[in-house]
Amino acid sequence: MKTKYLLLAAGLAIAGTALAGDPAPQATATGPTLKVGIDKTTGKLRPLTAEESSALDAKAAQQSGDNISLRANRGALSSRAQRLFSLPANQKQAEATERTINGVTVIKPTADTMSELTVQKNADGSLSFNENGEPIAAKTPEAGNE
Amino acid sequence: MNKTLLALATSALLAAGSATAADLQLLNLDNPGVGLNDTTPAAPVGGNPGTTKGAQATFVYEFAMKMWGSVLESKVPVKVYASFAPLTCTSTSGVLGSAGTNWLIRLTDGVRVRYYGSALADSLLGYDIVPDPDDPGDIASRFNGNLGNPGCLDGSGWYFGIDGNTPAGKINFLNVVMHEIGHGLGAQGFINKSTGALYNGYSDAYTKYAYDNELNKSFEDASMTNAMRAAAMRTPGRTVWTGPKVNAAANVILDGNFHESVLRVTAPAPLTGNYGFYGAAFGAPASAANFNGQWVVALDAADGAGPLTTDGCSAITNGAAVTGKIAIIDRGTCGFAVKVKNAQNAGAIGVVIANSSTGTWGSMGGADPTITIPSIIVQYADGANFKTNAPITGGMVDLPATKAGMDSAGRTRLYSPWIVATGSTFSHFDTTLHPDALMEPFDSPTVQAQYNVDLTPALFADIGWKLHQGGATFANCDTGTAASDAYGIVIGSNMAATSELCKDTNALRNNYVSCMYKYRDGLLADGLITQQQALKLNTCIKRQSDQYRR
Repeated sequence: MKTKYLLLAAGLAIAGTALAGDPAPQATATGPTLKVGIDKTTGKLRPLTAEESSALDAKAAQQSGDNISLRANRGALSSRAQRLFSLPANQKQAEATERTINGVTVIKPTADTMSELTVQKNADGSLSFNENGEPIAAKTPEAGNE
Repeated sequence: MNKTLLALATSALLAAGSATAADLQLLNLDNPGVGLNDTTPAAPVGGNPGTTKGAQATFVYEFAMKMWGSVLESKVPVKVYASFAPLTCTSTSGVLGSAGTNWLIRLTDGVRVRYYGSALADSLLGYDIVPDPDDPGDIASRFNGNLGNPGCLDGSGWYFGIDGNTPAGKINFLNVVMHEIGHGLGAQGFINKSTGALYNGYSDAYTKYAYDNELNKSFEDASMTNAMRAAAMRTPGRTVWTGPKVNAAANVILDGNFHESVLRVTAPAPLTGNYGFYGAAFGAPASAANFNGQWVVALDAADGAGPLTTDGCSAITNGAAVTGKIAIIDRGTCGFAVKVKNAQNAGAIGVVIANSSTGTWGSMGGADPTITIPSIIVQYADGANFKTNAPITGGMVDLPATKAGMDSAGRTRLYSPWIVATGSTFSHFDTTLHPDALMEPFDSPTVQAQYNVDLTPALFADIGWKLHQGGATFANCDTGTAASDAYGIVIGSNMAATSELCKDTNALRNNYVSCMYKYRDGLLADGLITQQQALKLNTCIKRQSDQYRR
């Protein structure tokens, strides 16, 4: 049986953000980070497993306005690309980009409005496609046997 | 008069007399040696003459942009941020790419203010609305240049050919680029997929055509609340497209005689409606014939087999209440087949498993050949409601046959799965469309975007794009083959794109002609053009070749 942790049960609340109650997160440079979660059973902090850490990175990237891919591969992108691909994390940040040019009002879309296509190789070698890391209903998920 | 309204009206008049193919311009953001600038040698493949990995990716990127450029008209260049730098990847999964508009432009048609993607807005107003030298892009797009390398979806990778002959296990780069840039050109709704809230309080050019076919309301209807829109977007078949061009084309393209069953509760009143469900690997499939009636909570002993009185892991103790009814049982502790068998033994005619709060919601595994009754599993929240409000009346209902991907009123379904997928929900056609469409939320091997982009041009036309009418042109010559017909066949656009790329990759006249004749012969051999179209193509090839220095 999978152990459940508050961190995950709360919709992947971001440790650094949720615990500190920070203001709207900003894009940050990639670097070694310490991540912890609260174990639902013990109520104590503990290091994340690799799987939890990865999921947390993905969620953190989304919340910081970076795309998952951009954050994980910041070093591979030119500095210009890093700047131009960064989008507001939320509506409030988007509102800050609003301006009027020659009488026309323009605004940046938030990062979560961008389509992102991902692929997963199945055990039989076939490929399943997803957008924004979410499963596509074309392939029926398996609930298991319990 | 509002300036944007005036501009919108004026531009429409101007556009009526113009016929300028859209010029999609690639802005390469990659570092030297990386992504689109990758100098790793590669053998030409499938009509792609590039001899490095970066050149091949750039070729496909530009081919896709020329294709869309031939389909659409705009006198304002569409600037596309492009990157092929490595993206997130493991040996079994990876990010393929992403795209979307880079700016949203607020315009009014005199009735309602909406957001438009900047490429569309530029085409409507006839000028570059955001001439920002520090951020000039209309569309942001990037794709994973690491795919297929060790540690990144090993054994797979991109297929860079433009002939549609994608080898098994490879991913057609042209299809994916066409799809993602399609989002950037306007196949993108900005409504919040979870809450139903409009973006910054405004609708957009795409959301304008979204419609809730249960409430019979447009998403823009004043009485449509955020909660209503959210509910429509998480109910399969309930969110549909009202744009006339898409629906006219879909009525011709899509297969008929599509049958679908839904799980519908008819009482008590607060719970009436359709619900999501998955079936089981055992027992009879649930159908309108075998899965209807009253649903009651089945009780069993809280014992070593299962700690709850509702987990169905032991013999059912309220058999009199369950007999002839559909039993509601909680997921957990013992196998699905155990629960269903216990219910069957108590006389139940079917089982609704209420998912746990943490369990993956999907089809139920397990095996027991002695089980004959049907069973389904519903989402946790729905199951909790059913238990609280039992007895429930409902079951499977067969819907009238429709076109595959349309509702009974002839509207095309948008993707609205039971569980919201932020990047997929709403901004795609539904996965029930058959044949598969380019703008469904996954890459289908049956999509051949080099020749057929099905409903996408019609969608662009619905949201306000002007489509190129008549034959595709190059070298100021009409090929006589439609750039895009009403059903999304884009062979003319393929001709124009191919001519451009044969020209770009062949400095000598004879080589250009050879490139195009080979291409023409391929179209003829595949039955994609007639002899008459081939003759017109010859004329344009000659016209283009005359522009070479002899």
